Amino acid sequence: MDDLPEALVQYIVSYMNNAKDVAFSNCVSKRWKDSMPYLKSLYFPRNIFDNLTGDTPDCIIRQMVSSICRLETLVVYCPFTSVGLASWLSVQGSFLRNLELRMDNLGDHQACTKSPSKLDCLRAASNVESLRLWGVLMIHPPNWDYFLKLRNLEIVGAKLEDPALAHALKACPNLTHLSLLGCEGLRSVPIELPQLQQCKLDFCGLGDCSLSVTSPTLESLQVQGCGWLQVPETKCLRTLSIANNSGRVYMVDFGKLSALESLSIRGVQWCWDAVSKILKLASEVKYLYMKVEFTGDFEALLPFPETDFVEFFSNHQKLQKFDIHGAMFAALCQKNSLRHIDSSFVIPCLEEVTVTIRSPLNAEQKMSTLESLVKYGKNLKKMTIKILQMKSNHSSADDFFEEICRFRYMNHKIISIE
Amino acid sequence: MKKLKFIGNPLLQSREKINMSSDKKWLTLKTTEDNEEFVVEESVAIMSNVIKNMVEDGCASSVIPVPRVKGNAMGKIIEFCKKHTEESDEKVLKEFDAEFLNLGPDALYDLMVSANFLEIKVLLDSVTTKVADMIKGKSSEEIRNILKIENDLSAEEIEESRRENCWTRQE
Repeated sequence: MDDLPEALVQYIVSYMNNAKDVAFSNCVSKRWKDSMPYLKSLYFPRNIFDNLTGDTPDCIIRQMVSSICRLETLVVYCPFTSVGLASWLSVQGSFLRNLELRMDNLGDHQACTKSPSKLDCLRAASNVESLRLWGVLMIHPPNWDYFLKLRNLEIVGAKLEDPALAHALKACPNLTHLSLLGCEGLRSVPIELPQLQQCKLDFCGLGDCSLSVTSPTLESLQVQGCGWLQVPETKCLRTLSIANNSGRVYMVDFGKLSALESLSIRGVQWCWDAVSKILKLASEVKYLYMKVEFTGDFEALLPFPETDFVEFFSNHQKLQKFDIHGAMFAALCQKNSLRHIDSSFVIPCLEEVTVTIRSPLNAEQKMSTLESLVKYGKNLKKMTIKILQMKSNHSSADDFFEEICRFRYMNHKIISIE
Repeated sequence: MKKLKFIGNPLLQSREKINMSSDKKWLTLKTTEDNEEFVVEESVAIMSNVIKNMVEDGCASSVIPVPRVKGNAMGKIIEFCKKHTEESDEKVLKEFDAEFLNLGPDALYDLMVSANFLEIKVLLDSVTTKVADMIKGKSSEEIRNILKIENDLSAEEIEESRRENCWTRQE
C-alpha cells in the first residue's frame, strides 16, 4: 500500500460514498486522511443517525461536506432541517451536480414564514444537473432562480398546486428528463419544455387531471391519472403509455405518431373517441399493450363496439408484440370479412401475442380470433393465453377451457396457457 | 534467458505459423524488467490506451517494450484483457472478474499500478471496485488490517478524528 501512488489511494477512497465508510476511511492513515478532500460524492442513508446522541445530523453533515473541496454528488435520505440544508449548500452549492434529498415535508402544515423552506434553500445549488426530491410539499411557488444546467428533475411523493409546479418548471428551461410520481393536488398541468425527451407522470387523486405537453424533442411519455391529454408535437415520440386507474380518459389530442414504436393504453374507462383516435394514429407501432376495461362517454360503463379483426391488423402492419386484455379482446371479431378475405391477408410481423381472457361469454368468437391469429400470423413464435380470474360459475367456462386446451394441443409449439 | 509465451492457440508451435494464419494482427509485448515476451492479438493489446496510442501513431514496431510491469503481472493482465475482448455476456464477465480478482491486497495493488500505468480503465475500475468492496462497512482498524496499512496518524490527529467521527461508534 505504501508503494501505491497518491492518485491511486485517492481513487480507492473515491469509491467510498456512504458517509459512515467515509468517516472510517478518514481515520485509517495519513494518506487516506489527506485523500478525503478529493471525494466527489457523499451519501447519507435513512437510518445512519438513528442512534445519535450529542451532535445533530445537520452538524455532522455540514462538517463532512465542508471538509471536501468540490462535492459533486450529495444524497441525503436521513432527516434534516432547512437550516442544515442551507449551511451545506452555502459551502458546496455551486459545485454540486447531483442532489438527492428526502424532503419529508408532506407532514408539514402551512409553511412557516420565519425560516426559508427546504425548497427555497435549493436555490443555492445553482449548477445542479440532476435533482431528485422525495416527500415534497410544494403548494407555494418555490423561491428559485433559474437552474440552467438542470437536465433531470424527479419529484416522488408530493403534494403540489398547479401554480407552484408551473413556477418550478419555468425555472428549469433546459430539462431533458422529467419525472413526477405519486403527485397529488394537480388539476391542470401545462408543460412547455423545449428540450424535454422523457416524461414520466403519475398523478394520484380522481384521475381528472388535464395535461398538455409541448416539447418537440419528446421521445417517451408515460402518464397515469389524466383525463385530457394534448400533445401536439410528436414527431420524435417513440414510446407512449397512457393509463388512468381512477378516472375516465375523455380526450387524447396528439399530433401524428409516425415514429411511435410502442403504445400502451390502460384504464377503467376510456371514451370511445379517445380509444379509436389513438389506435388509428399509432399505425406504425411494433409493440401494443391494450388493457382498458370499458368504454362509454358518461357514467355508464359500456362494452367496446365490435372491431373488425382484418381491419385492425391491416392498420397495424408492423405489430410484433401484442398484449390484449379481456373486454378489448372480446370486441375483436371477424364480422364477415374473413369469408371474402383477400388471400394475401397476412399479419406479417407478429411474433408474440399475449391474450387475457376474463369471461367465457362469446366463446366461439374468441376461439375464432385465436385461431385467426395463428392462421394469419405467419411469423408467430409465441402465444400466451392467460385465463386468470375467469368468472367460472357457468358451465360454459369448462367447455371454453377445454376448447382452449385443444387449441393449445394443436399448436403446442407456440401456445402456452397461464 | 528469453522466454517466449504464446497467448493464443497452444497448438501453434512457431511464430511463422501465427503470421501466416488468418487476418488477425499480432503484437509482441516485452516486459523490460525481466525480458519476458508475450505474443498477443492486437485487438486484445489495445485495451491498453497506451499501447493503442502507440499502434495508432505507428510507433509500434514488431516488439513493444513495456517497462515497470513484471512478467507474471503482464501475463495476468493479458488474461484479463483477452477475456474481456472475447466475452460480451455481462454475467459471465462478472463471474470471471470475481474469480480473477480473488487475490490478496499486495497482488491487487500491483494490478492497480500496472492497469493505471498501461491505462486499462476496465481493469483499473474492476480492481478498485474489488478493493473498495473489501472495506465497505468496516471500521478504520479493520480497514488497516485487511489492506495492510500502517496507522501513521499522530496522536493529535487520532484524537481529532475520534471527536469528529464519534457518531460512527454509536450503535
